Amino acid sequence: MRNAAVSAAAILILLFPCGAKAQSIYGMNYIGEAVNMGSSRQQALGYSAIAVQDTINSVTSNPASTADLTMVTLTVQQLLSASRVHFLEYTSKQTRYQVPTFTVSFPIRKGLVLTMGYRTRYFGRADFSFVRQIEGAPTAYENYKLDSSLFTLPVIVAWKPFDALRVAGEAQFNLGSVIDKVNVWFDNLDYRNVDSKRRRSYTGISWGAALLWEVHPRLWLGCNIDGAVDYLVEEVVENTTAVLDTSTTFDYTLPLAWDVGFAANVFGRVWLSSSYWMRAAAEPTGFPQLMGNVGDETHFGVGIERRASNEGHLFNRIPIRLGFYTEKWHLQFPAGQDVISTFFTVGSAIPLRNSPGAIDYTLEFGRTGSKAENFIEENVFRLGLSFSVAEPWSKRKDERH
Amino acid sequence: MKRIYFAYALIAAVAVLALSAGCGTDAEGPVTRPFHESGWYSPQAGDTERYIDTLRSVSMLEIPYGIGESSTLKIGEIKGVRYTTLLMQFNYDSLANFDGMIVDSVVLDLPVIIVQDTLFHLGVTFNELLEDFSEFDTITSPPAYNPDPILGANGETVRDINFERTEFSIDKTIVQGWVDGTVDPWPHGISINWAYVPDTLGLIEMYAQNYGTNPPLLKVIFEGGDEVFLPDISDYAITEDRITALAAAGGTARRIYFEFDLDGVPELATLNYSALVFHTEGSSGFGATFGEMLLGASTDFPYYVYSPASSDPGDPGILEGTGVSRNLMPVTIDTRIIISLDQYTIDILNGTRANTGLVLQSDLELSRVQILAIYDTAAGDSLRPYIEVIYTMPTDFGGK
Repeated sequence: MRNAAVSAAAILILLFPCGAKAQSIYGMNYIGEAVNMGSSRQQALGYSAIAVQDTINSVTSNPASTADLTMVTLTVQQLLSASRVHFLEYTSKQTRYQVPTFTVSFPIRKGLVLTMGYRTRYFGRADFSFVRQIEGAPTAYENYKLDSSLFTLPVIVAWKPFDALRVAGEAQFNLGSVIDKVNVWFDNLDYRNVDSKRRRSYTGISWGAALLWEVHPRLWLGCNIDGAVDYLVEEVVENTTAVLDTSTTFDYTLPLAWDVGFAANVFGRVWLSSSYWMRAAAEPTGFPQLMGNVGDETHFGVGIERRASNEGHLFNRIPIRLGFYTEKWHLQFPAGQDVISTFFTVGSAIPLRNSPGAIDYTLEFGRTGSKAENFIEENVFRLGLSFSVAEPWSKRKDERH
Repeated sequence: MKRIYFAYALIAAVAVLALSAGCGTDAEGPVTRPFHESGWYSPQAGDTERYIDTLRSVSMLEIPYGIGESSTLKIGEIKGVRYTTLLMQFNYDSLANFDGMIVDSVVLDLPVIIVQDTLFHLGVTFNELLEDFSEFDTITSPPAYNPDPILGANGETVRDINFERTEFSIDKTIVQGWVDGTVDPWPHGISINWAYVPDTLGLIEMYAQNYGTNPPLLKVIFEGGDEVFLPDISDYAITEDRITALAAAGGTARRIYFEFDLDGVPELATLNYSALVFHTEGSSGFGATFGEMLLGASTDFPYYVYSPASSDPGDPGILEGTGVSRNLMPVTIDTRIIISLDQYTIDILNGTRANTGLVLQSDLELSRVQILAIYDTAAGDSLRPYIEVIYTMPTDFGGK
């Protein structure tokens, strides 16, 4: 376990200096979910894996799946997106990195597993500026920065009461902040910057429940309910001129989300999975400008996985995964037009020799928004990596003696 | 096992780093414009505006300040500043060593540095002072003096100072009396006064005792060739202000008082920049005399701007206050001068400092005569003084 922790830390340390950006150019307002849940295995299946049993990863689409873990398991899921954003004749290359999830699962006894960790709900980054010409003054710039991270600290208890059934209950401690900074500055040091910052701190507790049912060895059903989050939002606005500072609080409710799906063994080692996820439109509390431009958020995914074999040549011993998913964002832009994401996924895994862990990796190709409907189109190439390591509780004890 | 973990970690990290480095990130500005302009992304910086306060009033404060500590003595007139009188006191201690000797001749040696212009000459009289003076006083008119001029060797009363003639004989019987002890040496010194107003004006400059070396002195030569020097130990040049321009001048002295109200700046504005702006009138400005330049003085005008304790020109409080800016500026060319007011205007607008206006003065007011002449409020828009304020209104983040 120590090795695993060291390795995971090494990855994180190496990766954090990379440019950190929002998950999408559209992710500039927090009004709902924006991050899909699951490891790179689930990612490779188009996030359709709500009914896919996973005995390796602690990060899963379905928390009930962790009931199958028999060893202490650490999973880190990370994403790197490279995209080109198009608007009119403009193109902007964007590189974005984030660690959406990392969790550790502790099997308390067989079929009863406690999982804790970190899960990103919203990751917003933006940094852009506009030139402002003022007669008789040097060139001025208005600069906007969005620096936001809302996350969940989940505590999951997964239980396998019967061989065919896994259930999970989840307490979610949700917190984070959305920070908007506005800065007016001149290309002359004699001129003072005028800075403004709005910080919205979100806190709220929510509950979740999940089920994974082995209807037949070749057919699994899964569902997950992610309860509504009643956030308390503390808003503080700070300005260069302190007399303009304000603070206030308000409530914001993120509606309940649900997810259902199936996984079926089509033939041999080939499984087909599909799921549908939905969260009803949230009231745009805190974002009056979005009134009338928030809709239901949905995700439909389908995936095919040829699972790994323990025998045969190398090609047989690695899984092959293909997927497709389409999402409808909660945000509509510019005025009531849905923002649609469409992605194709492909991935595999490298088993860790002499260990139950694995490195899952996935490539995604897709698009968010369209120039025709939304004026802004983002073509995305995304790399997902999951790093899972596991050791039995007893192993360390054995090593000590 | 540990090696495997590290190997995988390294591979993953290198892959992601390589991808990250290869892709790069551009500025988001153009592609986020629709989000911003439509208000979909709600924060909106407040407008930034430029406000010009054309000043309620610009006036001169006339303050009698002397320049007794100057390193040069001047007589004549330049740029409307007339140096009317020189005062000198001498050290006679050395005379005690020459008791009983016979004075052959006496010369007053004025160490002239330069005459501006070269052909300028000035008729002066030397008069014995009847009152004491101090370099540290502000002296605007000569102390009482004996109206009968000190005679020269040949009985002359009016001496002509010019570039070539800087030594002037003194009636030796005067000094013989000092040597013999029958008359006290000039106890308060002498004054050098204009004998008449010349047709053309100029300036004669000489070293003052404050320069440290080569002061004016009385040279006494005894029969047999012995001589003794009686150096100037205190001196002063009295000036008379004839400046007609709106000016801040050191040594005479004048300060410029700017009054304004800033009413046009909105209450919620946050200042980016503010400045006092004016245009110098180079033809009326004066940086340094030729003599001062020969001694290494700069022609730049060191200014000091302060917020006076009182806005009443009759109140002594207007002569002192809180400093706002201190720097150098050219005064002999026509140019626009911008003096950043920085925190001062912010304090005025947020009410932590009373708006009593601004006073601009020479920072060498007590030691040098310099003139900063500026165009006044009657000048055209491009030349008149004003207060410039650049401000930004509050950001609108959008409400709940």
